[in-house]
Parts: sequence; C-alpha cells; structure tokens
Amino acid sequence: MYALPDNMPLQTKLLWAENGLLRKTNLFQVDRPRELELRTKMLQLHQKLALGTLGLIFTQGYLGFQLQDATTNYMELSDRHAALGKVAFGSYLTSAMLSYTAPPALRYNRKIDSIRIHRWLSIIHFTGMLALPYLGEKVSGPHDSIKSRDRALYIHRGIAVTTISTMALSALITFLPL
Amino acid sequence: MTVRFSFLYLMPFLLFGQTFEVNKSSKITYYGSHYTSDWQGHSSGVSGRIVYNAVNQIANSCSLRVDLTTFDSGNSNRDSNMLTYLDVFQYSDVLFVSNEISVEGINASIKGQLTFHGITKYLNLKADISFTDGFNAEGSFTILLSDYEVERPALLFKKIADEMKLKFHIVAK
Repeated sequence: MYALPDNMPLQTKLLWAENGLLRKTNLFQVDRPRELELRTKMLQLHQKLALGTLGLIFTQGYLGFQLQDATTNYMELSDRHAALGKVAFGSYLTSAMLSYTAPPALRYNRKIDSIRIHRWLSIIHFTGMLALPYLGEKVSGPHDSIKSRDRALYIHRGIAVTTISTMALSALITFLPL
Repeated sequence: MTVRFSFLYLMPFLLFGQTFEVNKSSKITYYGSHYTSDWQGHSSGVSGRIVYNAVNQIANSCSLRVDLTTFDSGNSNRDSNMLTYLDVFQYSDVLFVSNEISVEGINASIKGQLTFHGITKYLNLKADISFTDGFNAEGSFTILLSDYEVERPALLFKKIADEMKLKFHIVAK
C-alpha cells in the first residue's frame, strides 16, 4: 500500500515518482501517510481558491464585454479590467499549483472518471489562462488599423470564453457522483 | 490490539460446525452522501468464514474481514481521500465477528462486533439468508462515522454526511 501508483499524472510523476524531482533532491522527506495528509490539505485549498478564482474570472469576463461597448468610461473600465486580471491570474496560478504539485493519490483509476476529465479540462483552461495576459496586451497595444485591433480582440475574446467555459465545466464535473 | 483481533477472528472456528469460506462473489456497498451528490462504493475484497450447524440450521458464528483499499466508488480521487481519512495505513481492514446468530426461516438476527478505524462497537443486524448452493446472506445497516472517530472529508466547506449506509451480500461455500 505504501507503493506509489504507477499511473499517476505526468506532472505528479515528475515531482513525486521514485525518481521524481522532490525525491532526488531530498527537498521533501516525509512518510507516505503524511504526504497524503498534505495532498488532502492542498486539494481542499485548491477547491476553495478555484471557486473564488472562477468568480473573479466571470467578473473579468463581464468587464471585458462592457469594455467592448465602452465610450466615455473606456479608460476607467480598461484599468479595472487590467487590475482585476492580475488578481485573477495570481489566484488562478496559486490554485493550479496547489493541484498540480500535490503529492500522488493512493491510486488512480485506469478508466475515465470525473477527476480525469477535470484534469483534461485543466490543460485547456491552464493554457488559456497563460495566453490571456499576452492576448490582452495585444488588444491594447498599438495597431496599424481597426481591422488588426478587431482581430486581436476576436482572438482574446474567443480564448477568454473557452477558458471560462472549461473552468466552469471543470468545477461542475467534480460534483458528479462518478 | 492485533492479538485481540486474531483471537476474535479465530474463536468462532474453535466451535463445532460446518465451515463455509466467503468467496469473491460477496459484495459490500457503502452509500455516501454530501449536499452536492450521493455516491456508492463497492468492494468484493471480503474474506472470512461462516460456521453453522447443518443439523438444526443454526448458524453459529461468522468472521468477516474487508480490505478497505478494495473499495471502488468510480472516482479515484474520492477513494484516495476516503482512505486517507480512514487512516488506512494504520487500520487497513474492517472486521465483523459474531458468535450470536439466530435463524428463523430466511431471517437471521446477528449480534456482533464491528471493528472499524480501530474502534469496536456492538451491532445488531438483520439479514435474509439462504442455504441453497452454499451460504448466502443479504442485508443492510447504518453506522455513524463519528462513532468510529472517523474525521469526515469535506467538499466545498461542508463535510460528507455522518450517517453511512452499508449493504452486504455474503456468499460462502
């Protein structure tokens, strides 16, 4: 039972496998039961923080859509959108790291379950979240034409909607009985 | 503690009776509940013996052991979490021992001791039994996790329900 599962996710394997980074560098030396306690704490914090982050990102999305049609209050909304983006991004990364770096579970199913789908969806929204600040900069950055700005906005908006949708789906799926 | 468990486990077999070995067709199901969803976990990792007197059809005793790591709820994260909260490295099995089983027709009344999470409690169970093709027993009972000092896992600020229903289907040959 103390043996590590052989089918742990890639990022967990890189850190926590027999030859993983944390084992080789002796950065973290506790017994397996303590590792599991730590895992539980990290994942519980991940849940709570992720829920808060989802709220922030929905607000961010709302501000983003308001910004599209803004006229006189454009600068004010833009500043708010940028500031909230930084908070949401920080909160998201903290939550993601708590999950990605948690010690391995006692076992992992070989069949598809809700947690596996949750992990697959996380690859999509993690990639989206990393891309969004850059894409946001592209929207506000200098443009040769309105067409070029609209194109940057279209990409930013598309990635943002995909990211928010997969995050929401990812959260909902954890409540499934399977 | 181990000596006590071993004694409880072996004691029934010291009594005279026909012995049936519990086989892998046996199944234990637990029903968990949380405000977000209900779920169930199954285990076929049941082992043990039923000793019963074939002459007057009175089952004398039974000793059953279930390996907690064999429970599967279809969600590996939840299973892993449950095992962590059950301190499975320290208490890897659930043990049920009874030396007081009375049978009336297909109904059995079983008084026994359930050892779970290192704590032993007395239980009175009802089961439907049959002796066709070996020994079969089916029934259910409810426990409170707090009775066994199990800290309950939480999801989104709220812990799972303290009450847990368990269903058993024991097949022994």
